[in-house]
Amino acid sequence: MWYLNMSSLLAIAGMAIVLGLTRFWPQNKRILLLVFNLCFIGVYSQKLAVFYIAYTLLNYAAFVWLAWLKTARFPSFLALIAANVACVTVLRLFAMDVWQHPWFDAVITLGLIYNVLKVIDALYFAYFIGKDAVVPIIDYANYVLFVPTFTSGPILKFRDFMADAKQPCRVDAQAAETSVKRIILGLFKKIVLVTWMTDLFDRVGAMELTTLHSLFLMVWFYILIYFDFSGYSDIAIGFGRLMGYNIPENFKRPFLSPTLTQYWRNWHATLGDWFRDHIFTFAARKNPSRLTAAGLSLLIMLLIGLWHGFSWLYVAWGLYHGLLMAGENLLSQSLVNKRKVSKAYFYGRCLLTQAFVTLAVIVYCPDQEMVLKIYRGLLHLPFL
Amino acid sequence: MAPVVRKIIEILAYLVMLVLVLIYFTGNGLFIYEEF
Repeated sequence: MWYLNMSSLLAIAGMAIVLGLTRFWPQNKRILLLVFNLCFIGVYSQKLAVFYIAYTLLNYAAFVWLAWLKTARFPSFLALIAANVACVTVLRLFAMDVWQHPWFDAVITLGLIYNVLKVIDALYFAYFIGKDAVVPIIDYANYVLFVPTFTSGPILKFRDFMADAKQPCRVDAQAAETSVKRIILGLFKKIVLVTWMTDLFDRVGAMELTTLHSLFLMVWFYILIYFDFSGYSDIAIGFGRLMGYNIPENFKRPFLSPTLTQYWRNWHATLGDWFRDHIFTFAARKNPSRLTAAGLSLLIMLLIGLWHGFSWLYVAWGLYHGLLMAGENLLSQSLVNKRKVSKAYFYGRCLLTQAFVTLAVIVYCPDQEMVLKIYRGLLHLPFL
Repeated sequence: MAPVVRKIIEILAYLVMLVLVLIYFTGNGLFIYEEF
């Protein structure tokens, strides 16, 4: 994790200062950022740099080819997406040691599940815009290799990034202050709060668990992962803005979501948006039937589960969220307008949504034994 | 006067956060999402 390494933090901060000092050079962030992105990844791992240079060049060629293609556009578009998904799947299986080869290890999967989504977004752009989708390779490479969001998002939108790329990096005093405060807040969440909370989580987790212990750990872990991930996003957004790019928000008051459908627009929002834009909207078009919406919700949540990891726990997690969201769609309960319902009803629905999420959020814990122990503890009632 | 006081409190809060970050900074932390 390069934000938690002092050299990396100083390098990124140094780059932001360089961009500030070169603010009157219109091309500053495009050229300097590409050099910086390549050097940063190269210093981190030469193997990672070689892989990503090849990955970026291949995908740029695919992007240009698709934009200019006149016949068989749709099958070509699908084939390019399938090739990217297959590439990620194979590399993840190597990283999991299902297959083994000295060239492939966990290093080259760093950030890949995020970057593949960005690359697919670019393919959608090329497919829908056609030959007018002219993008210089320097901007495409910066989009894929952008250091602040490289390992863990937020997931950049191709169209927005390219719009930002046309503007020179000119950060005024107010934007600089806001960004620096955002970075400090993110570091505080990520380094201080998460450290304190992880310590207590580990201590309670080491005990023999009853229902109350397990419930506590589930709620505690939910808050912990919120600070962890939102802290990371704060740092990425702060640095991204200092470098002249508007990074989308990942957390939009997720605890005030009255339905799961709305929750996934507010928690890890860029991921939910990506799946809604690229699968739901693409497949359903306008005004899908309730059954279509339910089926697509189930499919999307299963895919999000697999995106998180190839394990039965994530499949079960995806199925759980998918079935709940399918139920919301079938019962026409997927959206609640705060202005049209009473406060009690709105906050009651928010509480219910949080209860559903809390029951499954522990799956994000990297220690699978701990996850199973907490679920077993949940059934270990004090009076049994 | 109130905006000045608010600004001072804000600066102090961010300074406290920054000092705590420096105290707890180990360079060995792991972002949980990288384990996926």
